[in-house]
Amino acid sequence: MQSQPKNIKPQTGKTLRSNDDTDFFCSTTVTSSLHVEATSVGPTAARSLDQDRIGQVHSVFTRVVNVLTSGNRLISVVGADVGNGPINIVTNLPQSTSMASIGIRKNDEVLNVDGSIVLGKNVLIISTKNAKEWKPQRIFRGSLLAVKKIRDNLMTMKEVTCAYGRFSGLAQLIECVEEGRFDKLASRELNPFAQRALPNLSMLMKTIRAKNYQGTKRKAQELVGFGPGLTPSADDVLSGLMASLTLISENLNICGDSVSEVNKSIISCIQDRTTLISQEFLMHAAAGDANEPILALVEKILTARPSEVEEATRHVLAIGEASGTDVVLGVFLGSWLLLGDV
Amino acid sequence: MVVRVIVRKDTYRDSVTLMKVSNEASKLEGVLQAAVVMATPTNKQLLKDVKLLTDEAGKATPNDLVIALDAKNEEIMKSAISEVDKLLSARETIETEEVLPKTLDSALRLMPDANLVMISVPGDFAKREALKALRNGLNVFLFSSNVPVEQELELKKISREEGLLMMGPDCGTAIINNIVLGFGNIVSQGSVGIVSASGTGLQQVSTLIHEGGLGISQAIGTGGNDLSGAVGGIMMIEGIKLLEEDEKTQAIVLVSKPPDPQVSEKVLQAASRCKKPIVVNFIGGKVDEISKRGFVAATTLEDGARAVCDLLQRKKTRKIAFTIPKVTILPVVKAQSSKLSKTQRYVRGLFSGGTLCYESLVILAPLIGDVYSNTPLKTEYKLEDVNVSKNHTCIDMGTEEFTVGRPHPMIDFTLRKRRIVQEAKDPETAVLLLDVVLGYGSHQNPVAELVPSIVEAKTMAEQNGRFLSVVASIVGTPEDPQDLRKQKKKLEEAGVVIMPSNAQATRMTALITTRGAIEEKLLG
Repeated sequence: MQSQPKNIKPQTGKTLRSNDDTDFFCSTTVTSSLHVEATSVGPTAARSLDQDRIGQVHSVFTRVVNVLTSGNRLISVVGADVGNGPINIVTNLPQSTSMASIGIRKNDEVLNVDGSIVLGKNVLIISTKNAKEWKPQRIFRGSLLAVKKIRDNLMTMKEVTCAYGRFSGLAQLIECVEEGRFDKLASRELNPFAQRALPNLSMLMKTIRAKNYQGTKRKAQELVGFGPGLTPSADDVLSGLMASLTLISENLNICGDSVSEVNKSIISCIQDRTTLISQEFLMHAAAGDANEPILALVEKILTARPSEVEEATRHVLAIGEASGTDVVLGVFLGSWLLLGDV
Repeated sequence: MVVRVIVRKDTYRDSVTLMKVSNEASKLEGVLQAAVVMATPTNKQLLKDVKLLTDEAGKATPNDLVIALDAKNEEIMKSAISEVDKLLSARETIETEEVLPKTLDSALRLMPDANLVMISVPGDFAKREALKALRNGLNVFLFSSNVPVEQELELKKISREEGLLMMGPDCGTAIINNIVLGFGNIVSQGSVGIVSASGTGLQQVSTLIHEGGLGISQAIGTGGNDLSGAVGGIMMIEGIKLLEEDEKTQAIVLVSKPPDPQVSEKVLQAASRCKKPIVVNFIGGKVDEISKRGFVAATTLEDGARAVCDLLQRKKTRKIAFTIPKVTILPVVKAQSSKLSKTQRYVRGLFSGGTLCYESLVILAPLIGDVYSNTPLKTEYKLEDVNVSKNHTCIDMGTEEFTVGRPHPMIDFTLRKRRIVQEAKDPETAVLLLDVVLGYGSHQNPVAELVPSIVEAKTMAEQNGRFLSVVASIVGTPEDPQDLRKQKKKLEEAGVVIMPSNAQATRMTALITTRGAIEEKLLG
């Protein structure tokens, strides 16, 4: 990793004080700096590490610390269990340690010091010496399956999602999708978010099929930022949709132009319409960049056996509370949109 | 109606927190609507449409958190806001302490020394998860049902090769090293080992052993299908071997409905090779065949529990219908039956425990004649419509007809409460026979659910010039979270006759229904 040399002396036995500006950790106990290693760094995150001042802490969760960079983008310091992603700096922080309990606070400075990422006043020091840059494998290595088998894989993904998914957001609608169209009735009552999103999502699919990009933009406006969750449910669906459209289009070498137009239409309306974290994911998804489990899922759909698709789906479903399930709905819709044209 | 919207500027909580707080706030008494969302334009539009958008919320940005509440009155609103605050801060605490794995692999990374996994996934996926666990050297407790029998056989063969437990599929209860898995009760640790193909059977036997002053070393559930011809009793046979090797176990109880005859033979052969004393509790099974092979044979769950207690306490076992003296039993029978009107002739049993229902059918048949059921002893006594009782009827409310789309009746009392009132409307109903199952997994206060319906049923019968007798037994211990004593007291206050076991409650029901006519047969 590139870095500007700068000397730091990690403090030990320092006192952490409460900070009125934050909801998070407040303590007066004596503690030490926590040293961990970065094992891999995503391409977007790597670009942000070139400067002395990387940014400041935006938000702190159990396994993720989001950093707002000087370029006003978000990157994330994550535990190994979260996995690789374009904006992720993956660390070997033990799974039993919560990032929210080590004393990192909102607005803390994040610096690049001597090849190490330093959060807060030496609260967390991440050595990047042995970190590898994670390069997403967007062109899949395995042989592509026949369309019929890819469709079988999509049905496996749907089945696994219906069995294991979490349906507090839009993902309930996966039950209503037949051959990529919202034709079926749900077997249970839809939650208010899914109910309200159904006509908009259905229309979004129609406008994409009709290559009516203005219509796509209008319908995307109705969806962006909608639903429960820190990354609102509809955004997760749109992320899955855009990422799968791009990856399938690139690998099957089809519909490149229209996919690019669709993604542009959607992305053009995200500013000020959703949370900063969600905007970051949407922008990456539009470029076909997604976290490793999502890439792996699309790859398995195109190249692998149903049992591998089942495994890959389970990994995506495990993302967030319901985010993973919403993403799968998006992947399902994106895949059917392109398969209809094959 | 009071609407209040709180905006928290630049506040981020992960989705788990937001959704949990939203769900829990909606459930608060008197709260009509609750939404905890990020203030994006589309979410604000949603709030506006449901009349939950205030000016302040309108000005919030997508990076602000909005908590919108609609409550019946100001007082409820105040307590709802304080509750939401509490929930948000509680979640903060949890976030800093708790990391919950979402897959078996991540769970194993978090707890590499684990040697048992409890699996509860839809039946279609159960084999895959169980197989993964067995391949990782883990014992398995498989709660999932609807697993094809050939998959069960495959899993059990692998577990046998690997020397691991494969409890289930469809295994509801086990106690391993004093840890209760699934539905189960807090019982003393002790010297009795149990291998059971029945969940509520295991619960009844283990709680009665606890009541008898002994404890459980290990209680291995096999799943209800283990003693079928297709599976061949693999786990019961392996369970016997494991308990024989277990130093703490001094005697073993085998619990099941009567197995497939060939499987029964295999199990008994395996049991013959065991050097520890064994009580065979094949409910309603052929006692003579079991006894002549040197085992203690028990026909009811209570007999099984008492037999093993007597065996270890070196007492002689006597076959008795009631543990309560005759002088106490008869006045109760008289007091209850004397108030019945002439039309009231039938027993109506409503059970949450399948094996308890089966046991009652076995006990009632020789006392009052055959009993209709959704799970009858003879096919000709199968109810045409499970929702309508006929003559003497006992219903297992844990079967598929009653549980599709809703939790098990030990958790959700909706259908049983409705049925209690329905049976009270029938002028031919003499006695309602109920079971109440306590312990982990069961409803946290079953009696609070049942009593209002029992009172309504009794009142309705009274208004129609009848008296409805209600008899029940409680499977549980005073140490259970619901506390057996408290539950018993509340039922007694509602006029329910409480008996110490399901077998005794069933006999009491038969005595009352027949107005004591079978006293001689039962009490000598």
